[in-house]
Amino acid sequence: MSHRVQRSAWVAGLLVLTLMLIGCERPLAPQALVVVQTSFTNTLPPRDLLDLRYPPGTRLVLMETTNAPPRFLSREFVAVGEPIVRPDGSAVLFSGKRSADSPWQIFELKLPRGKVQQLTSLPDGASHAAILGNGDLVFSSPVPKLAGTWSDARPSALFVQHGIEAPEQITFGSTPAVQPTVLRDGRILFVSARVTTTNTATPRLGLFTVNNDGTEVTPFAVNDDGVPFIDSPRELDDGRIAFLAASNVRMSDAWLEVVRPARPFLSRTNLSFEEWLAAGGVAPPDLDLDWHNAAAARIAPRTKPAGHLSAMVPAKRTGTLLCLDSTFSRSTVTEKAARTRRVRVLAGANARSLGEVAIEPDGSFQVEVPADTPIGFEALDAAGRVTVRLAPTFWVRPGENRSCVGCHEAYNTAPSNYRPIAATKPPVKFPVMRPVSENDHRLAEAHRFPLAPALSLGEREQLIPSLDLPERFGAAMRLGAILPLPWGEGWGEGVQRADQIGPGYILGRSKKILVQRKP
Amino acid sequence: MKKRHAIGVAAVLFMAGVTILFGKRWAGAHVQRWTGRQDLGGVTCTHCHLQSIERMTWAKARAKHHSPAGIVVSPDGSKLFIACDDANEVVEADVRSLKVTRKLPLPGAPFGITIDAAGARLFVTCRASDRVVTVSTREFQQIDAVHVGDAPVAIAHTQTPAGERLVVANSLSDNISVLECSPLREIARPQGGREPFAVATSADGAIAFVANRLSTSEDVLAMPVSEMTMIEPAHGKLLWRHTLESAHLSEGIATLPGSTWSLMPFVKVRNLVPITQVANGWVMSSGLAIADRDGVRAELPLDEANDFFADPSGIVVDAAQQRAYIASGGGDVVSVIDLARITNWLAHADEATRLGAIRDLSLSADYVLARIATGRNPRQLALSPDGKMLFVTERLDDAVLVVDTATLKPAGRIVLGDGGLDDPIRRGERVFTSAAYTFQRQFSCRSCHPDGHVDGLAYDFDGDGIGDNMLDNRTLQGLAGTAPFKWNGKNATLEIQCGVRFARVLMRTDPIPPRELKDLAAFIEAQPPPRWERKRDQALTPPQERGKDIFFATSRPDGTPVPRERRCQTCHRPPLFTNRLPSEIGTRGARDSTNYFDTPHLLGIAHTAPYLHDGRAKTLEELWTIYQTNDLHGVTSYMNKHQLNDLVEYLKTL
Repeated sequence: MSHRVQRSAWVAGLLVLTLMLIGCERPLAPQALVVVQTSFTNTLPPRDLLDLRYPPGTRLVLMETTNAPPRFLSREFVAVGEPIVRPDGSAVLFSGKRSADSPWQIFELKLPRGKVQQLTSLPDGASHAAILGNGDLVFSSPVPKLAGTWSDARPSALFVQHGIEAPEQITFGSTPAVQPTVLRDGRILFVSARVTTTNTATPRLGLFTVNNDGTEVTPFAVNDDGVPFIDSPRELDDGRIAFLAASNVRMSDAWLEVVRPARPFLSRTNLSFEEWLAAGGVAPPDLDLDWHNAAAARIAPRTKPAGHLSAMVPAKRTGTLLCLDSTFSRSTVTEKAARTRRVRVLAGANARSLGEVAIEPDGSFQVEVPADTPIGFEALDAAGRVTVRLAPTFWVRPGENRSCVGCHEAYNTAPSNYRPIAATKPPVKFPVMRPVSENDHRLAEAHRFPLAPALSLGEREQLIPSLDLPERFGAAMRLGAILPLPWGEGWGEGVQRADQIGPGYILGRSKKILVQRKP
Repeated sequence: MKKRHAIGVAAVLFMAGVTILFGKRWAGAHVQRWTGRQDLGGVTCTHCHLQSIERMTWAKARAKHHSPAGIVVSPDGSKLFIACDDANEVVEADVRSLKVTRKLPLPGAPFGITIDAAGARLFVTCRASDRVVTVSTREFQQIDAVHVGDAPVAIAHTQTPAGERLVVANSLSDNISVLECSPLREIARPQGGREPFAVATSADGAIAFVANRLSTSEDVLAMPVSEMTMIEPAHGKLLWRHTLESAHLSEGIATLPGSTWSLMPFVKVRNLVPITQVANGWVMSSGLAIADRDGVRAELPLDEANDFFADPSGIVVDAAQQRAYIASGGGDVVSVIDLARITNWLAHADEATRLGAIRDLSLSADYVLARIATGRNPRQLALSPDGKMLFVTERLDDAVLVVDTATLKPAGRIVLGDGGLDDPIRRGERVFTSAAYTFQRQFSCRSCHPDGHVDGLAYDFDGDGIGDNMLDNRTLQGLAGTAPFKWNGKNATLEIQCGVRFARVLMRTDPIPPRELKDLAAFIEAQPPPRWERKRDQALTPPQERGKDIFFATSRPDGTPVPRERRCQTCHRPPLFTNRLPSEIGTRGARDSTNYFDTPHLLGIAHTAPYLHDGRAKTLEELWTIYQTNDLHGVTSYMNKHQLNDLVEYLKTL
């Protein structure tokens, strides 16, 4: 036998052996659990909320049966937490940090081999992983500082990430969005706070839902009907939504509560530990007295959540909102709402006014507002007094069409069937209030556009996407020139009211119009 | 030799090229000459020629299944009788053994079924043959028959002071037949609402309540209303007509013994609201109407805030237990309703609360006791005389489920057929009727297209902007061979029409998987226009003949030629009565984005009101009396009312 043949035989043998080893890998027991265990010996001061819950030394353990020895899966991590299992049972996702100074990120551990892959790399960290029906990752970022989830200057938002691509932000509220979980109907359920006008240290937390593209943000349950702090919502096997409730932000006295999806705002009750176990809850045994079981998940396939095909138009910078009847609301504010004559549109965390819109005789109005910006409303009576106020809380995604039944309408209310007058007309458009970019600013300076120093960009000036520019501007635009804009020729109607706007200028190739608003 | 061969081949190629070139030019000129348009691309000969009815899927023979339609239990509770419309059979089953004991072939699609108080005679409606048939339960043979209105579906038997009576809902002729039983004889036929579909009688036989499946409206933007018709069975006199706003798909009705109530499941439709979402019942939701002789007392939701039970259909009431059972055909569920709790709720609610309750999706948790999972497409229900057993037709499983009402758990199943899993049309019907393809199971294809037909409503999809391009719901019957689809004619196939696009703009969840989408297309293409075989063989009356002459006229009565592109037959070309091309007929609305709309086929057009792309024309007459513009929609300005009537009469024969 020649040397070459011998070598080939060796290679083939090794290949067969490797394949056999892979093929013979033992599957996990059907009742296997992945458990996060915390040592009681840690004394390092926590820096953020996850540090507090999952201090250094926390470990991820695979428990197949009570008799089998545990398998430690997180030897390369300083701390781990928040384990979840993919719907097909193929992998565990968790938050982890590889060094004491690094931020928390999301990792995936393939089963049963235990190969770990880092999924996120955000400078301010990522936490609270959840999995959509199509396998995409949902998480919250930044990780809340220890001072508190609800008081950080930069609120946490939800992100969706496909594979290891760049994540896309999907929530844009002025309060944090945390603790996402994916419901079987495909919506993302998360914890957030309502914006309040009263100066109180306690946030008004609630459960909200949003589609996987950030559209249709909607209150789901919990509204001042129990202790203020809630955490870790989960859908049980019977469809109920269980969550932790506590009287303090550190959740030190937390207990289990539940709402029924049939009437989520009217069914908040305590959930006993036995009920929770019966509905699919997980309670691993405490086998080692030196370690405390902080979180657990069952490694088993479960129903894959439904999907949602996005109808967003990413190229757009606005969305449309139709209110069917701004005079209709919950009984507590019905009288006030009935006096509504106009509605003021608010935008941004500082509730800047975008303008006002008169409501139609049937109470309806339709507005086109900036996308991905917190939006709110003030209902005004005939004298201009605010009757009902919704601080900037919700948002629309680019190209999203959103409707509401009324102002502060009762939860879970279906609309009446009638043709709102506002739907028979085009929406009232509010200019996109995005500040002029540095590039636009440089372009304006280069062409000696008179930017008055007194003008604060974003306040008196607005960028508006050009709509139907007349042909004769085409050549000038290709040259990148800045031309005075002759208002009154009709094509500027895309701007809400031309008589409120001073000279306008086309910003060359940017195909945008820079206009000055009259004081 | 070789050279001559090459020359020959070259000559043939040259001639072929010349033929193709000139043929193409001639064909282009031909299309232009007939349509008057130069902007049409992709037109083939088959747009106007080479079509035949016989090649259509819906005209071909297809597999038949033992789909249970109506059921009734014998007064002693020992037998269950089942009408199987697709298989043309009435089946007797033994309740104790759950076995089929006898079968009676009965042509004409037996659909509704009832039994007399003694249990001696069955009365069966034959939907396709427009007859009511009496069947002896002892010999299990037909003993009598009588013609009634068009497409009778539901039937109820009652004893009145004037004798036994049958009340029959005729769905296609929009009227109600009242019959004497021995022998069968029609004594009255009062007008119903649109598509009468369910009948129930009061215990004393004084009132018959008729639920009408479709709604009508004064204007396409006005609130649609359906009707609950109440008649006196003894003489067939109309007593009251009560209206339900924005209600449709009422396919069941029941009375409550010892009470004046009638209970009618229905779909609360919200077609006038732009479809910006489906959550919270934005498009439609299921409800239960409670009515008495004074009108509708309350409309209560059957759905929940985050889960829906689409297409409510049959209902039965257990007076002893104060329960109602309601089948959800789209949700594969039977809901169990506590009537005592509803009574209590009604006692404390004012009128505004009672009538507005249908909007409060949190309310049903107060009175829905249980949801019982069933097989596919539960439609009709029956209760054993002692109330201990509930029978549920699982229409697309070819079975009847038996439920123990004490435990509310399944207790057995009567198997009628194999379910037809080998048949793509049957598989497609399962997709069509299931709400599982919609967010939170809110509605099915059938919710808007009952029996593959129309619901008579226009909808505002928001994909092109709120308020823009409001569209009339088109029939799916006779659709095969008429591609492209959608009013703008942009969808080349049914798979495109019903696939990803629909998931995005309407169903708001995952698209229908490709294999099931193919089955769905097969089912839709198998839907024939109503009564096409009968119409094809029917001789025309003189007015219809005159109308036909107008339809195919090439000149006015005074000899003035009608331009080719404005002749009826150019765009509505037989045999399908469409050339499958977009046409401009002067009907563009203020919020429409185009002048051109797909030319619909005219098969069964008499039953597809309203008309035009946005449903603005309530009747065929209005197409030309109100919405004609400069003779763009055919040359009709010369017509007097008799000529127009003749034309309409002819159209109704298609």
